[in-house]
Amino acid sequence: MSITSLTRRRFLTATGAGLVIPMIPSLSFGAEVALPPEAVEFGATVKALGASPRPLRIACLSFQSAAFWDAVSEGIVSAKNYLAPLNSTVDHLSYGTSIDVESVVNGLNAALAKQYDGIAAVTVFDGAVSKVNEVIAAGVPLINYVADSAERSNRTSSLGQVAINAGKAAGEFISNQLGGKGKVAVITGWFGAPQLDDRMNGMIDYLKANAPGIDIIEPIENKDDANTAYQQASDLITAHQDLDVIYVTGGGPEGAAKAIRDADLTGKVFVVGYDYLPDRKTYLDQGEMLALVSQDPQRQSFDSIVMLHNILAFGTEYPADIEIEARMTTGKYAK
Amino acid sequence: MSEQSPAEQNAKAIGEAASTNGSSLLSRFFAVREAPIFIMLALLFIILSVISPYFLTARNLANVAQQISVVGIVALGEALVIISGGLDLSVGAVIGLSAVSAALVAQHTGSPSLGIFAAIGVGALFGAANGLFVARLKINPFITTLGTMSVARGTALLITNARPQQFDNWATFLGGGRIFGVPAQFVWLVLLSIMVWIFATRTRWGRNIYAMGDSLKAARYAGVDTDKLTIGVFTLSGTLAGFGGLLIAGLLNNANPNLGLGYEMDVIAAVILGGVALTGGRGAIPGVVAGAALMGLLRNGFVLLSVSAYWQTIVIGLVVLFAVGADSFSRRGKE
Repeated sequence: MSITSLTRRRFLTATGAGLVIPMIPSLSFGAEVALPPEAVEFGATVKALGASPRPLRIACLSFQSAAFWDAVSEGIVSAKNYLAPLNSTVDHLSYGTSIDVESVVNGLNAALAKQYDGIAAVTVFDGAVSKVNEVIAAGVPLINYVADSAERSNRTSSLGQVAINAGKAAGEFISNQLGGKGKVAVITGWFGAPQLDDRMNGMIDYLKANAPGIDIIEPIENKDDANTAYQQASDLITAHQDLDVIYVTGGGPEGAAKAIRDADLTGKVFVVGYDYLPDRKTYLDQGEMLALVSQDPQRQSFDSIVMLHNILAFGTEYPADIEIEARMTTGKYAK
Repeated sequence: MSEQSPAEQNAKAIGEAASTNGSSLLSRFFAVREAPIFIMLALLFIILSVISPYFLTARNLANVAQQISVVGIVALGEALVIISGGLDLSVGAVIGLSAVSAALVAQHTGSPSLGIFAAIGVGALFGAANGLFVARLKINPFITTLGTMSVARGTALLITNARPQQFDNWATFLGGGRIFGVPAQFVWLVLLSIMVWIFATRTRWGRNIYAMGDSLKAARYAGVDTDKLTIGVFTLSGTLAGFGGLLIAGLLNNANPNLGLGYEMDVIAAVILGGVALTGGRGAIPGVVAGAALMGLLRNGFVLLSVSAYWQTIVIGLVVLFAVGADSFSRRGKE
């Protein structure tokens, strides 16, 4: 169903699934510029409302330390090409490979110094809130994407998955797959990382409340490392021979899946994890992975940038919080 | 004044312990610097055998053997570096770079053999660079390897664009294969441990490493080419880290540029647990292997017994403190 086929009222009704709302009544949907094919494929939802009357410079900041961020970059490149003929120049600024608050603050400082008209950024850390507020105070709209800080900043809008809801969705999926009975182990990336804790607790809380027949094994930490996940999954399989699912909240679900394959337990024990990436496809196809919860990283960066274009060019307003729904990419044995 | 090197003293103590009997044998065993770690290892083995019905199963023992192998192999090189008076913080990053080098070279040339050489060669190259910086430019090993750690990790991310690389060919047998049911990784650990032990205790080069770590000046006055030795020791450490990366890539059929992140801490902990003095000049290879085994056994036991992950972190810290404290107490007693 395309956005252009909807009336404004019907479109507003559909936003519960995380679609974005253009609020300016004077704008005609007919003026929207069609999305490029790759953006349609990765699920982008925000269309440019036309060419900007003045040249715009938009910065998009992201990390560069993992395949997930490479997918984010794909969305940025797509938005850059999409907006180039529409009088907007998009620059991809890298925070670097260290995911820490200093990198975020330094990146935002650099974007401010370069006097961009708008900034899309992953601002995840509470320590970056004052810098985000400084950006807004300087009159530069800022859209946060992927993960917001726990402490609320004055950012223009925030686009991302609500981790606790994603965890609940994973819990509901696991419960349905197991028919409410079974045993689940949890391997989390880092204890204390808010997003991963929420994914873990969302799943655990859901199962405790809705599927008391499912036993949950004490969570363990793999530091986002695939090799550690392999070793831990091997131990879990040995110690819990009635194990059904290994739920991996962060990096390395492919390691757990490989351990299942090496133990000849394909089709008996399954991994549920996050982020569909190319190296995980084989485990979905062969059946070691039951499902991966997608955050749609390409869509998030693309939509953030195009929203900024519309805000700066046409004064479009967007909701302060836009939730990216937890979409499941299922594997061979998913019912 | 004894004319024996610490290596010879260790070897002699172990040898004498084997050739005597009764209380004399026991007292000589306790005189060995690595005695606390062997006692802890034996106690843990017995406790886990009693508490967990799964511990003494073939599958679990194979899991443990695999889990200690890469850390153990990399710790062999790290131990020699520390005994020589240095420190190598780059081993974790070299693991990641070597793994992706193996995968990329194998993909692009179609030759897994070249992939193997690439992994080991890249490790050796980084090790040699570390040695050159330390020996020729007189840069502190901590600073040098901190720098090369960053260079290696950055290079791994750069050449892969942060994307995991598939490594699925016959060479994966080196890391993921089994020889008569025994993980190939463990066979490598045993072979390399014997080789490094012989090198350290039965060759002039090995004895010079201890002499250099004990007193750099004295070693120079005695005619030891300490520069060449430093370069050699770091090259060996890098080579073993490179081999470790190859083994992990083989096990997972996949090489992620973030593989090995933080492994340097596990490796250094295993070396220190094994009785190697951070100040250099003292330590024995069997102790290092026992240190890696203790870490692996603890982690395996935690998962088998479903111990809270928070307690796992506390207990590992306490074990390191206890082992090092026992060693320090024992040395003070002798002094």
